[in-house]
Amino acid sequence: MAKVTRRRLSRGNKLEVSATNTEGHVFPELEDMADEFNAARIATPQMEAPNGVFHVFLNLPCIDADYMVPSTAAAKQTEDANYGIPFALFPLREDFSLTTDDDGQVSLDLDESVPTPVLESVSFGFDTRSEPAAVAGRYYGQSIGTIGSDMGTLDYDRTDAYGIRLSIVGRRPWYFASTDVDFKDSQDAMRPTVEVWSTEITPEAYASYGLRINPALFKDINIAMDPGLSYCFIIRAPELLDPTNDLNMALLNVTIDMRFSMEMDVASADQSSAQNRPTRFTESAPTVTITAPQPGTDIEADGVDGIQTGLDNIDDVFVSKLRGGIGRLGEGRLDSVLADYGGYEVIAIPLFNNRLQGGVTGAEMAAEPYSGAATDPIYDRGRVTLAYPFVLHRAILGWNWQRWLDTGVAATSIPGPNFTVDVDVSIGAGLRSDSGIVYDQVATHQMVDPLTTGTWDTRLIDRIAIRHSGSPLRTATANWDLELHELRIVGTTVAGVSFQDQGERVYMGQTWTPLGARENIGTAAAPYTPGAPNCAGAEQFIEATVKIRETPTGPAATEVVSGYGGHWVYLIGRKYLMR
Amino acid sequence: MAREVTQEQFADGTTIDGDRIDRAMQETVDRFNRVRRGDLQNRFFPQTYVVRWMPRINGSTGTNFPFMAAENPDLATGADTPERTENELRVKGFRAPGIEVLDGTGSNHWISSTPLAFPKPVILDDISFMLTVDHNSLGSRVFTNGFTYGATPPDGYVTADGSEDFSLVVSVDNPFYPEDQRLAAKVFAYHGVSLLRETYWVEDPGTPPSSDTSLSWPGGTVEGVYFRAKDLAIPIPAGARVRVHMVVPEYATASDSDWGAGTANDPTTMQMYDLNWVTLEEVC
Repeated sequence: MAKVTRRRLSRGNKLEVSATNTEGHVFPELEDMADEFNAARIATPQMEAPNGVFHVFLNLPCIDADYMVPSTAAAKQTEDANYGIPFALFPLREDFSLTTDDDGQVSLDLDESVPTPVLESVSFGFDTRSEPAAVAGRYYGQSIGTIGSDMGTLDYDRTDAYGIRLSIVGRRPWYFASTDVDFKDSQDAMRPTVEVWSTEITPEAYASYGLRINPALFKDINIAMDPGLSYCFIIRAPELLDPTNDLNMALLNVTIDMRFSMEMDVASADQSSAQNRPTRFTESAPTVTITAPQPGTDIEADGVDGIQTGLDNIDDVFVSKLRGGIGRLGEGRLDSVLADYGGYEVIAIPLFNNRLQGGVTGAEMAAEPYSGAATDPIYDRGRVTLAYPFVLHRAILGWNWQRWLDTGVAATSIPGPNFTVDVDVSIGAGLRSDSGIVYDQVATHQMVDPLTTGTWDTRLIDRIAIRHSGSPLRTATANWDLELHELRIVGTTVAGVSFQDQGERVYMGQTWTPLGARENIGTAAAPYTPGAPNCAGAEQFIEATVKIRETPTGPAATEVVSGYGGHWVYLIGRKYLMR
Repeated sequence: MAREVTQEQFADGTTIDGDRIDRAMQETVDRFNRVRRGDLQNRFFPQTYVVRWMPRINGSTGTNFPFMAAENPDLATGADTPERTENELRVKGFRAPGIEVLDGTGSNHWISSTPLAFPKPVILDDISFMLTVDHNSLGSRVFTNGFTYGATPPDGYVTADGSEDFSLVVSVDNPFYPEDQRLAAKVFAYHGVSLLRETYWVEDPGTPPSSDTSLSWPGGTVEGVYFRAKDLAIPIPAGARVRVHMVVPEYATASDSDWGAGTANDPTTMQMYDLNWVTLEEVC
């Protein structure tokens, strides 16, 4: 405990000092403080503001009226009009521990030392062209499946399309479910079991001149999240679809910004273990000296053992500010006194999120970029500028099977045994240089044959059913819409840090010449041979790539290749106090 | 001389009593046991925001979403004329040489606008965008923008000049008239800059260099525009409604610039988009 206690001293009491720091007044407390500074043990229990902040920011370019399967006025009022984005806030590696009870049931061991994310606020917005109007979708004036000519234009009388229900739901991941007790493969066992937060936005929020609620900000929520659950952000906007008059509207540039607070934690394991970390980390603690007077000597204000001198030495630390954290270029702090300066971080990278029909079926494979036929692979790639140091602890793929209302070639099933998905996360260097781009792979995963256990679900964490029906998935009794998979981080396997085998955490961040030397980074496949990173400490960006293919035949026209709105790669790790 | 943790001062030769020492120690211990956020030299955490997508193939049937035209009301077929138009232009302060907004000449701007609200004050620290195309050595490029003017450039430019027609605007709604975009505060603006100054590279590195990724990209070595502004230190107040706008030009004819024109050669589909920004947020 970094806090100090003290003996009260009031007038009339004898002032006592002790050079042994066991009893007395003044100096024991000052020595305790100096010890905490010198050992860099200033921790969150003694901080007025002990929490870091992180956001889960989700951006969808378009949710059109065809995002749901039900097409009648009654059916679209059901949960079949849900649109879901799965995410998770699993603990970082130091706090991840699995336990197995006598029945063989595995669960996440969440004791009081595991920091809890607290949902503080939600911002939800979309683009209405700064007008009190609704935006026409692709099918405005047409039945679904026939693209019209009014997309992106405005209809001031159709703001009733924007009656929107939002919710965050959670469930215990499929990974922890028991086959016997929970009937884990039944559809009911895949449903969310808890609603964490919800709200309803009425169309009036978007209809008036002068003041509209867009983006809407819901703050002071203060709901503790369970880091052992998987979550899903649900949007339900059934009135986008107008089956009567075909005035079908859309939500464009949908932004969801969930803001969480979470207690800061110790980051030392990152600096001692992470792959690709700077070989020289220059953090050091200060030397604060308190000299207590010897027994029998006069107690003085000045001098090396004076009371004022001791107070001055403590005061000096506060005057120069309590240091801790890591700079933009990976520099540790000299005279660092903070023990807790790490913060939880989630970087959400969307993939296949703006396709011609919202999602991709076998019928649309040939119309995708870089594809000329259904037998060709399709790709997407997202890049994120690395603006500050980040240590990757786990990479999660949010896979999406959500169907949509496509009356052309309706997607009703999922592809067969040759369907293969490759996901890759890399760091890269070479932007604004003439030497080209170099990469270091940091996480990877391949999934094959969604119909077969053991090839698709090798790193599966959860299956989530958010709709009642209409899933393209496999059986009448097990229909789910979303999946969470864990990517394999490169490097030699480290036991007990995640759901499946994982390599060591990976540091990433730009640096400067004195800190350019880096520890090795392992390869993605056994024997995971470590080697010098290609980026050589100069990484500038993160890149997430996905490749989908079914060779040699290609998927059938009615098979969902990529669900509506695409997929997400979540990079979960630790960031640091930096300014 | 201690001044930060306590105002009590002691010096040899002056009087002293237990109360003063006790007060000094209480203040010091209290301060130590409850470190103020202002006592931390570094008290901000960064946060990365990711907006990105790959558009449809240029010339294919589809939409420009999430891009929409710059001017309002732009009514849908059959829609009633509104009582009035609140924002004739959706975004304040963007321009592209040779394109006059609202003049009905066939040229236009397309805007993607990303709104979000911040409950607490943040600092906009870093913003970057990438407009990525396929390497020019590929035989069948999907994304082809060269970011130069064409055979009929705007006045003041010659063919093959770097085009200066992409805008990135970050605006904060006025707290008293939040819906009037004319009154929004432009806190960051990128426009009127030759995009050829912002390319990934100047000397072509050629075919992709050695790579340690399992997935090679069919578009070849990355090419296009990469812009980053860092250390911005732009304060965003609590409760602010922030909009991040990307504005691309559409010229009257395809020969005006590499952005193309018309539905068959649509400017919004000439490149992939990666937009990131970073905010700093105080511990709480």
